[in-house]
Amino acid sequence: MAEELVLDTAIRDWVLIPLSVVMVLIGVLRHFVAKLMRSNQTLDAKIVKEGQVIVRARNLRAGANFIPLKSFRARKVYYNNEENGLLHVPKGQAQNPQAQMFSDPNMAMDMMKKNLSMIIPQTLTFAWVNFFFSGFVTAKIPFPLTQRFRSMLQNGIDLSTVDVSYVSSRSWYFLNLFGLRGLFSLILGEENATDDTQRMMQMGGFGFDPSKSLSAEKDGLDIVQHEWALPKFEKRAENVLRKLVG
Amino acid sequence: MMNLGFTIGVLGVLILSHAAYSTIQYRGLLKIVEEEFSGPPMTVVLELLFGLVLCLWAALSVPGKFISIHPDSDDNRIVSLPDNLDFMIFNHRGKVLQPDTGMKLKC
Amino acid sequence: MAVGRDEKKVTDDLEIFSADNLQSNMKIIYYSRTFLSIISGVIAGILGLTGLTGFIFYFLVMAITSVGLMAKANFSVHAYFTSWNQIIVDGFLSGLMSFVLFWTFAYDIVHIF
Repeated sequence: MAEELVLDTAIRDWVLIPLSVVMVLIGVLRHFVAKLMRSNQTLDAKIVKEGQVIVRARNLRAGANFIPLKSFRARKVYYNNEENGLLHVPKGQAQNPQAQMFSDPNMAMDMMKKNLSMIIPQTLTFAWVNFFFSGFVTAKIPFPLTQRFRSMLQNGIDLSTVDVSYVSSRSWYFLNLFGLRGLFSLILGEENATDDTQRMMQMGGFGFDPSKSLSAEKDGLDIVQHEWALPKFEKRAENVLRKLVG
Repeated sequence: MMNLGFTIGVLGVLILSHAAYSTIQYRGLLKIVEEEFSGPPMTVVLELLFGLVLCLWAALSVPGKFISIHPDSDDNRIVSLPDNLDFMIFNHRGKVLQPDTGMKLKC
Repeated sequence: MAVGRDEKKVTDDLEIFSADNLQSNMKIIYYSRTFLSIISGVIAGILGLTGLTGFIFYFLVMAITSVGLMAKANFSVHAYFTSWNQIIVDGFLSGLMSFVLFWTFAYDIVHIF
């Protein structure tokens, strides 16, 4: 069962290498098509304002220990007080994110575009691989695997006598699909369109509720324990300067 | 520096592909004389090592330099002290005059 | 300067560092490791390593990379990173997938046909 199969070198030259090269090129193409199709949406002024307030509050929280207690308190009140604090959201004014999504057709359109740019090339490539290269034993994984991987690696050839480490062309396509992510992040930069996990995250954060994040930031600001980090910074600065000058 | 590293990386990859090609040739030769393959020839191993060293160099130099994360390091200095620090004089007649504290706020 | 830094550690235990710079350092490490995992995959494939030896080769190359990165940081890791793990361990497993793919690719091209 473990005897070596003799494979034609033509399979290497006309299946293995073209398939891999095409996978890389399609990844690059997808990246640039997604870049082209990304519409720059116009943002609502109110949403931008809220986002900026959140960023400012976050900066305050991060840098809380670098300002004196009095200044910190003043800023906290500015953000958090119950009457007109920036982070305070009056009850009943919170907008329903679902309704907001439907009121803005551009948003749904954008999401659909993203989805399509992901699904269409994959289906097409898969169909192309199926049509051109079905039924080849293309590759051999250089380490032994258990029988359980047979369905994963020998998708498309129904031979139970072939050693598990041999890979069919269709499975080589799948291996490429998952394994080329590292190469893409090298040649296309960090935020490339081929990264599916990142896209999932984006979708999760899609229907987010600004008022909710406002109140979350408010709570975060409330529990900050202020502890001034620079009680002796004047002395320290004096030391440094003294050493430089003297 | 960046360009040099990049060129070296390309060179390394080219050397590796040449090594791959010569190994393919070698295996073809072995097939003709009907011998078993026990390992690539010495020259190929040396070539691979050389390519690895080149690529290692490229990988370490191309992505850029590390930046210090300490706030008081020279990289993160917002205000830099002038080089002619030795010629700065604080002990002059100006210290008798009252510093105008309001001036700083105005400008 | 060094004295000042020590003094700061005495006066307050707060860790102060620039998160942006840390991020960019981590990104540099990620790029180096990804590139070298691909290269080591190609080399392992050309050498015709199979089974466990291939993975050992990968870990060897990654160890060399760690040493190289440390040399790049002038062995003063705490000036650039918050902990040693970031320079030694990070990206070990994320490069494994790339390594396996390119290992298989090179091995197949060179050896099985």
